[in-house]
Amino acid sequence: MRRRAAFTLALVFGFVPAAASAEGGSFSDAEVLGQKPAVRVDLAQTRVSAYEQDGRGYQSQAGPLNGRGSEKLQVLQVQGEFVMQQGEHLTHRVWVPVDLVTSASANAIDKYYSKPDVVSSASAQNMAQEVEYELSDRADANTTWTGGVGFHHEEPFLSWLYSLEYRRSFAEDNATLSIAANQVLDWFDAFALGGSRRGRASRASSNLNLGFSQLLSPTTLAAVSYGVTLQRGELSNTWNTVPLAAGGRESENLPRERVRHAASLALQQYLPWRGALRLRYRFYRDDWDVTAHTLEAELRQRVADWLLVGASYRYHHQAAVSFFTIDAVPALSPYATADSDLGGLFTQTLGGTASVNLPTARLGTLFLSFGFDHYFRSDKLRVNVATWATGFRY
Amino acid sequence: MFEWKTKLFASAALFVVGGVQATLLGGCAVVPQNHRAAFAEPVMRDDDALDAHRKRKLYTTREAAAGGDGKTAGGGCSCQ
Repeated sequence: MRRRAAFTLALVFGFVPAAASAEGGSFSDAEVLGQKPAVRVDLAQTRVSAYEQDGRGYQSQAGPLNGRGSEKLQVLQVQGEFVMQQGEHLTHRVWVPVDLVTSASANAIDKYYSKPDVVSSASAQNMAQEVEYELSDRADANTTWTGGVGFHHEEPFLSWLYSLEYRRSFAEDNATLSIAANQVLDWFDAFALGGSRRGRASRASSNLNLGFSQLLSPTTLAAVSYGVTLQRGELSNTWNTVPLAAGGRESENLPRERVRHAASLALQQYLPWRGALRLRYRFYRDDWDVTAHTLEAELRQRVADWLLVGASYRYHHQAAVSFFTIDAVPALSPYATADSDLGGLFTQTLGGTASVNLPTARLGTLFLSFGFDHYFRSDKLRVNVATWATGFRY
Repeated sequence: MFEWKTKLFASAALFVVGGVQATLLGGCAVVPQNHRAAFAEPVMRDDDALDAHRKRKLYTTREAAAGGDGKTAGGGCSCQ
């Protein structure tokens, strides 16, 4: 009871005295194995990723009036993560991502309330920043509770995130069951077709996930998961547009509710030559008539004690939402989108990684990781991503 | 045109059914702690949350059918 109260307080205030996690009436690990530090850092890392995207989509106004506009953009994403153990039961995690985006559409707004110019301001910059905090409480040898809170901010957009996860292991840790709930509340500016503001809009996304993993052999792990997400509110970003059959454009209009289901199966196999193979299949279905299949494969190889390399491939196929159109007739359908992301398409991703782990005398293991992904779609959109991580694992 | 897609989805369905069966049957077997050295190998670790985040964002902001894997499918960013 006392530890449960401490967990609640820690989730709210971020920190509790280490003594709060001590159980009375039984010997703790520290009493048996010797005194450990009350607080210790497990992980500190940063990751920088650079995205370069090129393509054209009907939702963008940066192009011909009834044709496909530019989706060209660049993103510089910087993330920081800090994981700390407090006592025997509590783990704190702080995560701060910052995205700096040059966007074809996101800045088609009346910045500083001046007259908007939806095309020439398309290369302006937008910065998104977020902070998330998670606290895990290992209630007993088999049970872990994790609670999280987060806040996201960007130019016309605020968001609050909450999460709670229950994880329990069975059969001497051969199997693990997890149940997680996530809630996201978005509050943002809505924009009219010309880019002027038309008040505030909001949406809520509620999510429930079930996961189960099982050791199949001394070298094989299998996992299945299912997640359902209910979204309500303004589900458009409000600046996407749709070409009209009669000429001109109109604002995208989406239903105000969406129920989304995703189920996946993953297998991970250790290979005797110090390698590993991961395979994953994912099925998706929602009530906007999108059905999708995703296959992923990843091969990792330990080349030396300090060097690990990997290669990955991902294939994704999705059907279009039922109201996707590039020549809308508003009188015939209340809903219309020309967003290429909601169209029928298939995508492929090729990736490669290299990681170096270097033990140090006093600072744990220094790790450096470099990766590159090439993402390309059947509608000619392509994204190149270079990513670099460095940090210490203690 | 559709033949390779049919084969792909049939293979995927077999993969899912086989995997679920293997998972359920595997639930009867217990791998002792001292036989799990392979899972401690760095190639088997899957704990890089920052890399997982950047991949998730790459897909959830560009595909109608991404997300829902431990996190919400949508929301939390104006890019979705």
